Amino acid sequence: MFDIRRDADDTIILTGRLDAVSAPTARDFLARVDGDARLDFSSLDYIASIGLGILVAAQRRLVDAGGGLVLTGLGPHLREVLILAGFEAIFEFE
Amino acid sequence: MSSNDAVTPLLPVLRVLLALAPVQIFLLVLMAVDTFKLVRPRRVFVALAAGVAAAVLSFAANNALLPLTGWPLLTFALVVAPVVEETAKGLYCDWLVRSRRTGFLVDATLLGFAVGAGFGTAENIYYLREFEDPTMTTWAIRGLGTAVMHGGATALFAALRHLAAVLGRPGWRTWSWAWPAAVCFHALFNRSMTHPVAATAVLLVLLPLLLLGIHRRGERNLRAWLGRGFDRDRRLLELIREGRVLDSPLGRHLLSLGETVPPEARADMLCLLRLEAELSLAAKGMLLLRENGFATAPPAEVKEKLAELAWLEKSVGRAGRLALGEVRPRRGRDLWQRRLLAQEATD
Repeated sequence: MFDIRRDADDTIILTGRLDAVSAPTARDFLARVDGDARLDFSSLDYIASIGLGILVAAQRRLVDAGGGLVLTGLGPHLREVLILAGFEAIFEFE
Repeated sequence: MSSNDAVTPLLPVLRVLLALAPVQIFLLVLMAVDTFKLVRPRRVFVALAAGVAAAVLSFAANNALLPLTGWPLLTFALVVAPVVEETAKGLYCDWLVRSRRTGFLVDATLLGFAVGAGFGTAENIYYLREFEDPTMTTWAIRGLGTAVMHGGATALFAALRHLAAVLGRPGWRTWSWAWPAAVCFHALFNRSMTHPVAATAVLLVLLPLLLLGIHRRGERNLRAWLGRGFDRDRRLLELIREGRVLDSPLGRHLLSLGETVPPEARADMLCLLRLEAELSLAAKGMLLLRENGFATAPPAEVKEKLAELAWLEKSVGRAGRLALGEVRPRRGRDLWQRRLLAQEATD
């Protein structure tokens, strides 16, 4: 199962698996995000490349509007994959 | 001073613009729709130059063959010239595909069109110098028709040649699709020169549809390859990182090599696979970012990793590389993506 919602301090929590099945849910949620936002990945079990594509597309829109996403709670493997893929150049990691 | 006098000095400029500008504009549009920026401007210039070279080669060949055939010029233009010219233009495109310098229909078509555009431009410059034809229609036909036809014919050749390579056709048979298609496209246009304006109009309607259709198919394949490949490379990296390789098919394959490959070479094989996965993620990540307008260069350490990979390939030796053959990703695209990274890392 996949879930994406804002918690009390406005951080966006991703839970479960973000793959081809759950991609539309994430895309629609992030389409409504404006300005700066913090994404917490600590409860996310898996993110497929289609999920990464959605994050990059959202980042493009937010950066163009002067905002941006901060990625937090990244597990060691996912952090390594994002660094290898060169995502450090466009995202802020915490 | 009458209005004609005012226009007269502009005629040479208009003539040059009509003859040379359309095919270059066409090429710029193809470069603009290249969402993943697979083809850098420098490579387009080299392809244009290859087209000019093909024009010089064809000019010499046609001049030598024309008297030998004894045919009237029109017959020669219909039968022999398309064969000579599409072969000359096709040589560079064949090298691009054979040496894995094209990875998808997107870059193959774009570079093919650039070769044809170089050819058409060189041909029109020659005619501009040789023939003082006053009628603008002639230059409109040559610029909007003939030059664009040359670009389209070679783009068609490059796309079909690429497809044949991806489908694993052996070298010489890859020309059996691409070459006749380009020659027929070229000869058909020459044949329709009895109605030049209509032929040029039909070309200007059909060719964009054909090229953009090929381009869209190429980008769809690229996206699918990106997604599949990214997830596969990640899983491999995860297996290696978490020390679970030996439970996987890959690990069992490495263990099954027994004494055929010395233990130290097997360790290097694992390092090679890990490094390939990391470089593959770097290439795919770069393309994913570019698709969304982030023009980023690959991470700094890519250059050292490429050097280390080359060393590891030598270290595991031919036996090791053959043994890895079954578990390594598709070699063609793998080499192309490595070349793409190396090119970007040195830019």
